[in-house]
Amino acid sequence: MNNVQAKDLIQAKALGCLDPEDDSVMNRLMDEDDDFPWQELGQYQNLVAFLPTLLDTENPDQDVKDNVAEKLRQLEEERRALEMPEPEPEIEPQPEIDAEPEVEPVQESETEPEIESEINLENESEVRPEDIPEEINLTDSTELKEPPEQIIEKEEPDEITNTDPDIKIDDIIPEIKSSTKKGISFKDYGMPHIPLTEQERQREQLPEQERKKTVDEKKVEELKPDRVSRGPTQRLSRKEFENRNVKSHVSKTPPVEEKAPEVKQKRDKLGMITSIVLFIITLLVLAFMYFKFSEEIQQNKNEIDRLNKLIGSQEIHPDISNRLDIT
Amino acid sequence: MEDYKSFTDSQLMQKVSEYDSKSLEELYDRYSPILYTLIKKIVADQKIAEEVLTDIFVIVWEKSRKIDLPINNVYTWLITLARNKAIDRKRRDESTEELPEYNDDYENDYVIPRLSKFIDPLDLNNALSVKENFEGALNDLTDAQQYVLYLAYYEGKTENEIAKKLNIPLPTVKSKIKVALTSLKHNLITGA
Repeated sequence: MNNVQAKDLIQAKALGCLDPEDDSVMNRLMDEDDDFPWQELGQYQNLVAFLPTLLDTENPDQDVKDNVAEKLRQLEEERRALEMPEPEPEIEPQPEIDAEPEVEPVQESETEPEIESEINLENESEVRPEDIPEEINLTDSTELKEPPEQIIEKEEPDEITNTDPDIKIDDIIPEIKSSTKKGISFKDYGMPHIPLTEQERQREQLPEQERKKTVDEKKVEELKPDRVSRGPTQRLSRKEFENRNVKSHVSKTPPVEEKAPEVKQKRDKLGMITSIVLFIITLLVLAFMYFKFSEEIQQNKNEIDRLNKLIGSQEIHPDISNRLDIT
Repeated sequence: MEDYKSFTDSQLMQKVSEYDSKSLEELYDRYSPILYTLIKKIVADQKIAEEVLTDIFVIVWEKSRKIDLPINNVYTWLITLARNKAIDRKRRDESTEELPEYNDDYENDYVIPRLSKFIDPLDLNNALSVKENFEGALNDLTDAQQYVLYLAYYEGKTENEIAKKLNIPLPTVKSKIKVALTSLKHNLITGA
């Protein structure tokens, strides 16, 4: 019964002209009838689809393709936007980052054990406890209960001013450097500034007074804003930070090796110019002397000729004849 | 570098279902002329036809994530989709009555084609290759049969609307449609 009903409707279904009621019946048959004539429906669907092949084909404008592409692009963007997770409430505007009281302790707790273990190893092997004063012994991290921001404010002056004459920073630096090579970035934990680059090492070898000066300038101009005023997400990466430090050192205290070639070059130029000037002066003097002597010689020759003439005419004055021993 | 032009319609549709936009572009290049021609024949307006054509490919792309695209009969599915979409647009533009809201459910029920489970494979090249035979088979139908098919397919009229338009009984219309398509199929198979 159902099969007969379906066969009556199948052509109109394929043509897409069933009334809504018949269409509902047909859809129900398609869903429920196990004997539905699918094969026949397929044949009629293909048959009807041949109809447009008889039309004179016309191409759409190129703009249509562009529109399709644009719509697909928009759809993809919307889809991606929907798939993206919502922003976390922790990422807030600047004022809240500046405060950053909750974030910093997390860093501290994560990093503390590393610092402790590394430095303790160094202490055991090389660093002598008497060389490390109490104020500077930050390696004893078990006592660090304050947030790192407070540590920075407290400890930076120790490093920068270095007022205590007993503090031998140079003794400690190699140890700290060796520990940094093992992967600890002290900067990240608010530790005193440790020179890591070649320029910084050179700076460390400069006289105490000069070094103090550069460090003081740096403290005010660069270190403070980066470590204190910015939140952890806004801090410069270690590399960027180091690059900035290197640049500042280069601009403030250029190394001696960099100056020497310039001085040498200047000296060479000056010597060259002096030589040229001296050579020209010598030439001028020689020319002057040549002309002067030539003139004198000429004058003497003239005088001799004149005297010879006088001798020839024997009208020589007695004084002259006496002077010339002419008898 | 894949040569999309050498892909069959089925391969392209398979790739579209894997979110390959290049495949959709190739599908557009192949099918846009015949689809545009069909849509324009139905809506009789270039701008609307272009909009509908755009919508067709957007539907293909969007539905590729939600339904099983017909891999083995891309041609019939796309032609039927374009026809359904164009008829729906035509009805919405011309109707004075309030029509159901066009939403995802409506689109799935009335615009997206529901092809037979057992349909023979057909692609654009095969369809175009039988064009002359099909034209001959259609011409063998009576004018009344051809006109009924025209009203149903291009005008988008239902059997009841055709009956009213032609002022003939509904069973007569149903009979004419049934006989017209059966004859067309027979003529095409026998080559009459």
